[in-house]
Amino acid sequence: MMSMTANWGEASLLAVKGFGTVFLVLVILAALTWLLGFIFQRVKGKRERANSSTGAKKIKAKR
Amino acid sequence: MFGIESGFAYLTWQHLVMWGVGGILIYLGIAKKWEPLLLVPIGFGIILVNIPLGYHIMGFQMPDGTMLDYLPPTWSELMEQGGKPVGFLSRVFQYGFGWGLIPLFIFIGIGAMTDFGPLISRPIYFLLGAAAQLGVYAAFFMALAIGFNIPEACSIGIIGGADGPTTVYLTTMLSPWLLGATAIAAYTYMAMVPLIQPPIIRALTSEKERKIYMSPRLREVSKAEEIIFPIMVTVVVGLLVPEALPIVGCFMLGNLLRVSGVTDRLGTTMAGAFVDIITVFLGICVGAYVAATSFLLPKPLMVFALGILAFAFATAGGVLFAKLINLFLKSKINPMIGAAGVSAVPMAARVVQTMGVKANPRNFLLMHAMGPNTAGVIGTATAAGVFLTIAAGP
Repeated sequence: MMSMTANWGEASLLAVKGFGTVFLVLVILAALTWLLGFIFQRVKGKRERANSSTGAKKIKAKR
Repeated sequence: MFGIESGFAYLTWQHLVMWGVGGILIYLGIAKKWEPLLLVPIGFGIILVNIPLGYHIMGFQMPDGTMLDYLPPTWSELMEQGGKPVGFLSRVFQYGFGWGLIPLFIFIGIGAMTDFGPLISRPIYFLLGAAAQLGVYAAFFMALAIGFNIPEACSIGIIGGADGPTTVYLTTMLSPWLLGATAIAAYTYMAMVPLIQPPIIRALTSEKERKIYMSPRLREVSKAEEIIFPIMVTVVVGLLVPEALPIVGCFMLGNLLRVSGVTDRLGTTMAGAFVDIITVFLGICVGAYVAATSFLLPKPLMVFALGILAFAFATAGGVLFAKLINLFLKSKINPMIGAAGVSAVPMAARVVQTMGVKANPRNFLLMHAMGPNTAGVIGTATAAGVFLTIAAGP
């Protein structure tokens, strides 16, 4: 039974726009979250390297 | 009887059917433990409103002065013509749902209970949450095909997101006359996720795929990432889909209270006492909105049939998309976690975990499945915002 009242053009546009927007928003969020993680991991890695080199220098100085 | 007007004279078979519906929901909640926090108050609300002459429960005074013992589906329009709610629950309903407050308050609580760690550590899971929204649009088209108009089809479609508060919020805004049917369908099917999803997942995946091993270890997420995430999501979704901002904003506020590290008291209250109190009102008001006169009609009953199809398509969308992205990934993901992209948190993730262990006892997929699961909540909220933007206008 097909509806006689449904405007299929409008409905298709709504669905394509809707699904497209949801996908786009979540892709943007995925990219930003990945970038956030990338930056924080690099900062963490640099800090750890700096700490370990400072620690090694201290040990050398003590010797 | 003794000079008091009794309800017996007004009792009809429709009332008895609705008592049966309420009784079944209470039974499912208590005996089967299916979403008991919601099905028990909803079931009780249905019985409560279907007792004739219960004017003080959900009563409504029509513009011409006639009293109804239930809230008519067109109550908001009738209020503009001079009608008014007179029962205690119809007043709660007027503000709680008419203004969309109750579903939004629930979102603050859900946010305070949600751990975004798995999603932050593997952002690719956002895509699985997006793919599972396929069910929303599939049900939307099916609803249109069988004669619902666009706002009604949007409210039915959103059931596919498997997100109760979003369904309630959107239906209240677009087609309040369907609220009882969409809310009950959403919550009942959410409770039935362990029955609905496994056959679909099995049909769409091979045994080899179900056995794919995924290390349970996920990258450790820093405190700063946890704090920035809810703010970032609010800003991005708010800018792109402003109509989704009330839902996403409340959801992320609750989460920020949880992760900030300095608002533990607020976070704990939101995730506990606050959300419990609101849940009682949500359940009983939704139940009390389901009067025999407005529910036992073809349209609300069709909503149930479409709701289950929406769930099925959403599950299929997530699983198939997981299989698709596996074509491009070096380290394959278990496609079953795509099924968790429907937002029924954490029920859908638990189903995946159970099926994963059955297929491969070494597997522990729960943490992985929580990623698409939480992404699905954001996806459904965004889909609701898009529907509001396009179907309701500014």
